[in-house]
Amino acid sequence: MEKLTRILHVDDDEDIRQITKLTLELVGHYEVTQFASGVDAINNVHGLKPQLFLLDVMMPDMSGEDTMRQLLALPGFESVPTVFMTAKAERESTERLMRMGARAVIVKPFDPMTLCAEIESAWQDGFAS
Amino acid sequence: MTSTFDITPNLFFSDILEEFEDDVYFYDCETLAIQFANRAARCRCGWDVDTVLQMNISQSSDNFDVDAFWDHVEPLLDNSAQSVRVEVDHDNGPVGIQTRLGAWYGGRRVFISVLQDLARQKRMEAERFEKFSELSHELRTPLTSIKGALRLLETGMLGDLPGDAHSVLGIATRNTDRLLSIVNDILKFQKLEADGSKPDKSRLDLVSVVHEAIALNKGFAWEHGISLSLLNGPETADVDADHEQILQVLGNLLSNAIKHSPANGTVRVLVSESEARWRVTVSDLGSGIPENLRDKVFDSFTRAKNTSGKTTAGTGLGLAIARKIVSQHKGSIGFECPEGQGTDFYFELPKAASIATMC
Repeated sequence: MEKLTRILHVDDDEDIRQITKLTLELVGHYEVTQFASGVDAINNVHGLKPQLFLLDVMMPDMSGEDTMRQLLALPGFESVPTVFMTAKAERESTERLMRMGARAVIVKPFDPMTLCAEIESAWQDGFAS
Repeated sequence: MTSTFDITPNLFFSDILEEFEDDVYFYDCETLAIQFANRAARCRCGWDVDTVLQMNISQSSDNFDVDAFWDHVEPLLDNSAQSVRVEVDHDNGPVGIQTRLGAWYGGRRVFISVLQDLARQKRMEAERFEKFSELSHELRTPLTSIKGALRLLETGMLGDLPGDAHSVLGIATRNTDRLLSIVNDILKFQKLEADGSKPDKSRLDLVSVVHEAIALNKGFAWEHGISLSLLNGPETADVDADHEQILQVLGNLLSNAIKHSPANGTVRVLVSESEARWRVTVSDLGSGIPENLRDKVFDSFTRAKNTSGKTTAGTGLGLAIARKIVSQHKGSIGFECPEGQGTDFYFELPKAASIATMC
């Protein structure tokens, strides 16, 4: 099974980006590339080789769902799994994202000490027979 | 027909009613002749402002059943009810109609009916829930940064901290969690009020759900030095209910009992039979509920003091949420303060219909 090392993270909130980066690097030892919007991520993803997209859902210019759709439409990124992080805690919201093809949905506020384990678990689900 | 009742001297009153979003009808309690119908009512019925006083309430809908109407208002005429309500499919969709008797000018009695558009009401509830959901999102976003930062500091991921810093961080963490609980509870409460939150019922064994709730709350009880005990009762207790919602009710009653128990106390849970219902009782040995709070226990934001005389941590919405859920299951909820000390909170749910009954 391929080891997860590179994560592309998109969130419009600067503070959450900082906390998430610290968490992913310090706890999970991942290489993290971050963008403040879906448009930035789509324009700059070429050249990066992210193995997993970690996306906020509610963003002002382009939603997390649209960001996922457009990233997956780019050549070479069709099979990159997506994990959403959302402050919308309702069950219906989580179910909708899973139906759209999300590998997992993590509800904010997340616990930095378990975030990496949740991402790792979602990553490994892709290799389950 | 010309009305003997003139509302022009009361223009102010009729102006207010005129602007109501709900339909308002005043009509003679013997002839059913319309005395007043506001704009919403005239619009629904297609009546003209100049000719509305020539109309009769029986013309308000193609489906108006005069005999059923007189049966419906009988409790008003024999003074056995102050008001009557019915939900019907009107020509333009489902409506709820509340009717009562009132005195009209000249001492004549009239029926006053207020008709609510239920589809509009549901739309408004859904919109209100959506607004609360957005508000919840706005509050959870900064809480994510605060909680994340505190947790990274607390776990030493950013380096060692001086001794006192840990207790200060503990205070910040507990209060952040409390704020998050308030946000979550407000959202749950609003969701229960909104359309689409009807219980997702399936056949459940209440005894199993009680076991599950106890297991889920053991950690919280342990933190407070309290043990949880399930007393002997029936082996199974089938109900038709929403699993998640009943777990929420039990969780709220258990956490309430834990917070109000004296140190090293025990919270006891009992499942018992109460005629056609199953009853779950959660008992604590706390200081009971003060007389002045007993009428308000299930109201939002009511919080009592615990055995140490401190107001308990919590949102004050837990019991209000529990009452809402139980009432949506056609059950009942209440409490008893036994002679000695402590409080027994209980809720009852109708027993599941047996297979034989269902067939």
